[in-house]
Amino acid sequence: MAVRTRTIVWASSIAILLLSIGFLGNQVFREGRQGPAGTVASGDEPSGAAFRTLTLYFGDPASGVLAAERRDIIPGADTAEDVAAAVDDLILGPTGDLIPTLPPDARVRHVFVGPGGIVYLDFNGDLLTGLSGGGLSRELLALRSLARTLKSNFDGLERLQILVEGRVIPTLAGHLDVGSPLRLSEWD
Amino acid sequence: VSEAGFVLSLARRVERDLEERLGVTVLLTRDSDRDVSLRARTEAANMVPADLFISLHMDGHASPRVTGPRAVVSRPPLGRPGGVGSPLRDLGFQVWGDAQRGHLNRAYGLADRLVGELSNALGLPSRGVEEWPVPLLDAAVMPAVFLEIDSMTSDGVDGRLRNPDLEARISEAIVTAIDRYRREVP
Repeated sequence: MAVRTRTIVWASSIAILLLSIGFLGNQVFREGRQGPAGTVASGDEPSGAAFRTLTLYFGDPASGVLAAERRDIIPGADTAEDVAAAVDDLILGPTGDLIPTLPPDARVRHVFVGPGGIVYLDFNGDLLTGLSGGGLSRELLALRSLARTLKSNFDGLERLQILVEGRVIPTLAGHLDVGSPLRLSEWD
Repeated sequence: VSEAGFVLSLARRVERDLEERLGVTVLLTRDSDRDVSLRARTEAANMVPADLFISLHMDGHASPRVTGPRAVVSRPPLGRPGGVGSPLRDLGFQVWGDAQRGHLNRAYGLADRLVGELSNALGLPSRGVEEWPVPLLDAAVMPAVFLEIDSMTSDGVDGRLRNPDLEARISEAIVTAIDRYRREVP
């Protein structure tokens, strides 16, 4: 009886230990990512996993124009999930010396890819709060960063409609027109 | 120095210098530290109607290394209702938000001179003239320019803003650019 009890205790310990290792492994993997769920920093990926490399565009500190950084994501079930991962990574910001383009508190609420290559990005209100009071350059950098990232990574996407809390807004910070879908090629 | 306060003081200086040097009448869309909607500003210019519309600003770039004057002229988005190819346009309507399209070339001519004169006067690199859809300018029925004198976040800007001659130099450059535009752009 005593032996059996010990076996059960051992078995429980092993199970707990294995679960702990599994949990820790998952934590290490998550903390190793530079992006949100589903993404990893390029070069940190475990071997053998099926990753997709995205090119994200942030600001170049010297020229103020766009410059590229790479990320690997675990592909989602469809284009909308991959777009969400890319935009989440833009919000998290660059890992190197480039300039962030989107406010850190902004969040993507929904992504919807419609017919005709139009993608709807629905942000929370912190997108507007974070850009308010900035100059035209900050607004422009945010839009160009989104447009070029979408255009260079997702074939078939041609236009972007930005929504905030589910609604079309006229501008992000009072300067540039986002009241209708943006042609990605015009903002590249 | 706040962007709004600096620009308001500059606008008053430009108003005085333009009237004295070129004998033109200037209408300020904002003559005190109050907020005026974008639409009200454009409407004020259209109601006169003015010959030129210049929106004065200081930029706020995320990089402190970006400095110098830049101008933006407005390119309405393709496919906007009432734009090229629209039945409304064929019927002779001028659609709000698409008026600037017919003045874009002259707006470029003005913007190019403004940025060039400011770059020389301030000793800063020109950031050039860009085309983006700017709602403030889209509905203007005259050449319209969004002019950024410099970036409020650029390295060394505090020292430049404390220079007592700065406002006069900027105003002189703007007046010279408008004078050149009147003589050089048909």
